[in-house]
Formats: sequence, structure tokens, C-alpha cells
Amino acid sequence: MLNKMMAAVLFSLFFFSTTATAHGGLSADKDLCLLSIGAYKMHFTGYQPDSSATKEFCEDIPATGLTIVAMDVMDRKLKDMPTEVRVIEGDAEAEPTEANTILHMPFKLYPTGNITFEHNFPKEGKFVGIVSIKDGDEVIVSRFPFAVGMGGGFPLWLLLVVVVAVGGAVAYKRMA
Amino acid sequence: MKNKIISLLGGVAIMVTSLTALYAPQAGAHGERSQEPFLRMRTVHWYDTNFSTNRVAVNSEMTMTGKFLLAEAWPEVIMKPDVAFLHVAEPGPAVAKVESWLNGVPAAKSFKLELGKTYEYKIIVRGRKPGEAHIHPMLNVQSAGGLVGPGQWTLIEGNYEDFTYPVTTLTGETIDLNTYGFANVVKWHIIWAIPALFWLLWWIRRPVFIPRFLMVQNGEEDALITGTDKKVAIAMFIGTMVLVTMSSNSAKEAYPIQIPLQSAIIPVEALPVTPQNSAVKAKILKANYRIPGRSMTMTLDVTNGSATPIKLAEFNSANVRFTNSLIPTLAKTDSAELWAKGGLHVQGEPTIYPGETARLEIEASDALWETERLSSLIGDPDSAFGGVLYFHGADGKTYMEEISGPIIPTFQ
Repeated sequence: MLNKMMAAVLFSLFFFSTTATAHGGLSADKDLCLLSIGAYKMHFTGYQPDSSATKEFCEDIPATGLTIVAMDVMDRKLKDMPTEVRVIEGDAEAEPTEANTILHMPFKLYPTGNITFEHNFPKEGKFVGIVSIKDGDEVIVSRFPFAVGMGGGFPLWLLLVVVVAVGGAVAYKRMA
Repeated sequence: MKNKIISLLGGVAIMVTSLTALYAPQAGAHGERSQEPFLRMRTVHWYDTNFSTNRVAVNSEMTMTGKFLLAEAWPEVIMKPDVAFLHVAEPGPAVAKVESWLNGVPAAKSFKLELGKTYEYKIIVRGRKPGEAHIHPMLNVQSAGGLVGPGQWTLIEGNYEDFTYPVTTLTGETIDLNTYGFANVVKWHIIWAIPALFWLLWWIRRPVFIPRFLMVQNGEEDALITGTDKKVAIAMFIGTMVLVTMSSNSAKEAYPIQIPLQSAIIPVEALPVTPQNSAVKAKILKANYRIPGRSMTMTLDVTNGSATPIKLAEFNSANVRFTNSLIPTLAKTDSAELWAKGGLHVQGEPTIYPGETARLEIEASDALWETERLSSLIGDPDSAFGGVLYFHGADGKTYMEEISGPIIPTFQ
């Protein structure tokens, strides 16, 4: 019985992945948090200096409060393309309006390749980041829905602790 | 009951081991970027790197030349370059090294190098495996690893089947180093793998790891090794000795003229001290790294000991070039993707006259701080940076000065 249970747990873990997460144009790809804008890529990093100092996060913002987001061009061509950044309140399908826009940085060039914005999120909720670039006459838009203050995912180390604890408890019960 | 406990503990151990194996945290490796910032910023400062071409046919040659300055701020935590070897960093054997030279001395062996000194290198490689490869000069330092210079994407064209690497040995025989001895290597690997596999399987069928440990703890170690085991062990020992003797004799018969593996360390003199690499001195007063803006700011005093007025033209760290757009561009020879053009801004009087000491506030900004993973220096235990300042002299020459010091991260 115990061996079967262990086999089942191990088998189920084959389907567990730590990196295959995706929020619209934003994804944790290998070891980088990347924002895809058409064929171009930006490196995305979030910080909450008041609560977690220099700790970086990708996608969802773990807590409310002051948040700094830095986007760094991976493709140097993006330096020569005007870029617009907008953050709106709403779920993944929300469209930008004046009413739901909480941050807007109009099209401009970023010669250093770094786009930084900060915003104080006073309450939990769902938001959408929208980054647009002008590639010649074409405007390419990337959207990435994210949540604020809704905690992170289920950490794998905790799963490990739970599995070992359950396994140990069952083993103890069998022997008792 | 005891066996049940042993069996259960063994099961739990296997489960934990399996979970550890399945846990794959995000790999912090992207070629040269995988190295910690202190390894790239405070060890080898490469400059004037030049590749003779960016397209090379299979069997054709490409030459890499350049210079490097060994940082005086060499980190305490890694070995100094007392045994260093000049080589090439590449994704697999895309090119084969043919020759290498350090300050005019053949670099087939290792060197003992001095910190704070400058060296000039030349490496000749031959196109081997078709495809596009990122090729770098690299200095291997014993116990420190490979310290990688600026890279270049190089297209290698042709067919791999056409590749040859002819070498004439000291006995006058010409061999193809690409295939020479390959069958012999395979043969001897198979010969040795058979007893190794047998020995492994002989013991792996017994209780291993925790059950074995528990049996020893319980004083049952005698049950772990039987009389047959001892006989097999003696047979293995004798067989191994016989095989070693036979293989040694076989090698001596096939190759009667031999030289020992070469391990000498060759002395090499550094490039001479000149005004270009010694006349300008800089003293760091303060350095900050602004995390959100990917910007490093420094306050420093610069003393111009040369005979000509100078202006700060470039800050180079970890092969990333931050150049001052107000100064005539220095030769662009290094990797294009690591050039933060116009990323260096200088406040204060831009011209420093001979004999004068000027205080400069400089800012080096670019997304490359993050994309090249230099930002993580804020997580290093000593939070220190290093690099080289290049000054443009009114006499048309370039003056350089190594800088280093502590750095404080900030969100302001």
C-alpha cells in the first residue's frame, strides 16, 4: 500500500513544472523573466523595496505597496523604437479606458534600453500591463495580466515537506 | 520488524532522492553571463580585441588578437593566475585551436602571470564544425576557471566531413589530430568498462545506503561481506594489475618513442609600463548602483600624470563598454552587443590638464547591467565592482586606469 502511494506521488510529480508559467506576453522562460513583444524580448523585473528590498519577482506582485518595475531590452533594436507603457485595472480581457488606466507613459525612446516605472498599489486586485512599440509603421502590443497581493504560487519546497511528512506519518501508522 | 523499518526508510530515502532529482530550479547559466559579476569585473580586463573575420570555412583559419590587463583588485576568494592557460571559449569544438601566443611567446603551456600587468595575445583557430558559434578568447586560471573575453558570432561554413587537423609529430609522422587514436580510445574504454560494470553490479545487488548504514550500526556488518565477495575482490585486484601491465606494455610497443605529459610553467614578461597604462591615476570616493534605472554612479578624483590634456571616453567592465557620446569614439572592435553607446555621462570639467587632479561624477547607464547579469553584484558578499577607465588624450593616444571599490545598491 505504502509503496503504491509513493509511486503515485512520484508519478504525479513528473507533471509538475516550475518554469512553464505564462501570463500573456510575460513568461518565466528558463532562468529569465521575459516579456515578448512580437518577435522582440524584454527582461522584466519587479521590486518591492519597502517589503522585500532587492528581491526580484516576475509576473504577479506578491504584496500591495510601492512597486518598481524595470524592463530591459534584450534586443538592442528596441532602443530605437518608441515605447509606450500602460497599466490598467481589470481582468485579462479588460481594454484600456481613461477610467481604468492607473499608469500611462506615452510613446518615447529609451536610449539606455531600460524602462522603469513605479506605482503604489494600495489594494489587492487584478491588473493588466500593456507595452506597445512602434516598429516602423507598425505598432506591436504586448499584454500581461497580473495580480497584486494575492501571494505567490505553491512553493515546491513546501510540497516536498508535505510529501515527506505524509509519507512518514503513513509509515509510522503502519508500524505502530 | 527491523527489516520493515529498514525497507520503509529505504523507500523514503528513494522518494526524497527522486524529489530532489525532479526539482529543477531556474538554471543560472547563459554562457559567459553565468559567471558571477566579481569574476568578470575584477579579474581580466580585455581590450583591443580583434577577430580577423566573422566567417570562416571549415579548415580555414581565423586569428584573434588583443590585450588584457590583470586586475590588481583580483578577488581574494579565487586563486591568483600563478598557473594560467590561454584558450578559446566556444559552444563545443566549433573551431580547433591551432596556435596561441602570449607577448610573442608560444602559449602551448601554462604561464605564471602577474596582477596589475598587461599582456598581448594572439590565438589562431581553424574552422571545424559548421554553424554559427560565439567564440571568445579565454584565460583559464587554475582553481578559478575560465575567465572569458569579448565574444564574436562567427559563421563556420562547409562540411564537417572535410575537416582535418594535420600535425607533424617530433618523429616526422603526419597525423590527423581530429581522428588520431579515436578507435584506441573506444577500445580501451570498453575493455575497462566491462570489469567496472561487473564490480558495480556485484555490490549494487546488496543493501545500499541507509539500510547498509543501519546494518553497520546494528553490528551486522559481517553479513554484508561474504567469503565469495572476498574471493571476487582478490580476483578483481589481480585482474586489474594484469590489465594495467598489459595495457602499458601494449602502449610501449605501439609507441616506442614517448615524452612525458608536459606540465612546465613558462615565464613571460608583461608588456612594459608606459604613460598609456600608468600616467593617469583614479581614486574612487563613492559608488552606487541604482537598481531600477540600471545605472552606476561614481565620484572619483582623477590625476593626470601624462603630458597631455585628457578626457574620459569610456568605462569598461566585464567586457561591457559604456562610451561617452561627447568624446570621439574609440575604436569599436569588441562585441557589438556589449556596447552601451552614449551610456557614459560625465559631470564636471571634462578636460583634465597635465598635473591636475579633477573630481568627476560619472554615470554609466544601460540595460546591459541587467541583461548581462552584472546587477547581481549587489548580492555578492563583498559588493564590490571593478573596471577600467579609458581617457582620450589630446595627443591622440588612449590612457587607461583600472578602478575598483565597494558599491552600494540603491532604489533612489
